[in-house]
Amino acid sequence: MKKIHFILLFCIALLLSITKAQSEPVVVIVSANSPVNSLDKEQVASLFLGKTTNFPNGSSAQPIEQTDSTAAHEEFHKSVTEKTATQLKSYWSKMVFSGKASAPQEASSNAELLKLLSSNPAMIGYIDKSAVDKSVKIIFTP
Amino acid sequence: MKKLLTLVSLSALITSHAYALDLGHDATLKGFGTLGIVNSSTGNADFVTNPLSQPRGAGSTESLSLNPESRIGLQMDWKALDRLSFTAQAVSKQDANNTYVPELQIAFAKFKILSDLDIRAGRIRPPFFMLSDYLDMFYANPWIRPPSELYSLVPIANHMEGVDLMYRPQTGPVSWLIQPYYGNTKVATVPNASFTGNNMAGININANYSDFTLRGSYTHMSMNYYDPGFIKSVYTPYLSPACNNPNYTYYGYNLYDPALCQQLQNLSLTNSDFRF
Repeated sequence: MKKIHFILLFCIALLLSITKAQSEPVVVIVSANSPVNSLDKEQVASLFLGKTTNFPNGSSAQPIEQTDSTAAHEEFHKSVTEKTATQLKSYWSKMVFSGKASAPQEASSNAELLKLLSSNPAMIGYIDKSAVDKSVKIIFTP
Repeated sequence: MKKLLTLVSLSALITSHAYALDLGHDATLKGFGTLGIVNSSTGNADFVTNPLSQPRGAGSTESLSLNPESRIGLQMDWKALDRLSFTAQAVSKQDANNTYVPELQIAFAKFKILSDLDIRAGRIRPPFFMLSDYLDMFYANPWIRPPSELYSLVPIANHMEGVDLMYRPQTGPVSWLIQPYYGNTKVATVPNASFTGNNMAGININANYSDFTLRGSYTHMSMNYYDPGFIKSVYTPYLSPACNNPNYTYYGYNLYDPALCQQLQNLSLTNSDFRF
């Protein structure tokens, strides 16, 4: 009887984790004025991990992060950089404390992100699909 | 009764953390630390992570020791201009003199020449091996400690005074880090000795595709080890007769060397408290 209880609990936990994973889709965006029209997953991941600092066309790129408590942050990194919050923190620790690179700037909200991006075509960010407005364009959908 | 088997147990308890604080004016203060307690049941020797820079460990000195792994670091970054930033990092850990006096591991100015090309000048950690430039960051490693068989090989891996370039081009899906460097260093080791590395010139090349990294590295330097205690105890018995008599031979070899004799004479004048 106890065994069945455990299996039931396990199933509920699994179900909960699946529902959590089906959160709102995120999209990768740049300013509507940017000459960049599309990127692939590897290119976006490279930019957000500081492995490269340029768009493929050679122009300078500046990634903007969301705060790590947001669902968008979790969703983006799970599907694009394929890193958990802990892995990401460990990755940036080694980049920062070796003096190789500094961690990306963070936007505190969707509104701040849109404001930053619309005024600077070098910036690239990610956001919940429903929050996208005319000041930005979608260049990648994970 | 004769002991047929001596069991040596080595265990470690490690906790590592990293934090950041925004100070405003484009300055941030960041820190990291590891508290590590190592237990070794052997009484014959000390377990240390680096025999050249750690005089005490767990084992014969004490069975439980904080020395081999515990360390704390503070780093300040200041972005002075769009292209110019400054970074300084001090780390407190057991040093060659068995104290925890913080040492400046990093102190450089970084200038962004192009969007994918940086130049750094000042005190830099040379990237000899894959983890060399973040060796104190246990938090960023998958192991309890970086493999000490490799990382204690080069005693001068801590820092150098010099300059490096970091070039990060992208070819298709592969991102590169091409990092040539040049510098000089002097590092104190146990007991009261020192290594100097002069005209260190090297290059570190990383090719990165997704989670895969291919790395190649080359370093060339002139390395000197200076150990007055060793010279005194080993060379003095053989060399001092030669210094007193230029015609003295040892197994047929004339050992008279005026420069070395002068050095030995200097050592005996300042023998007891030799520090770097």
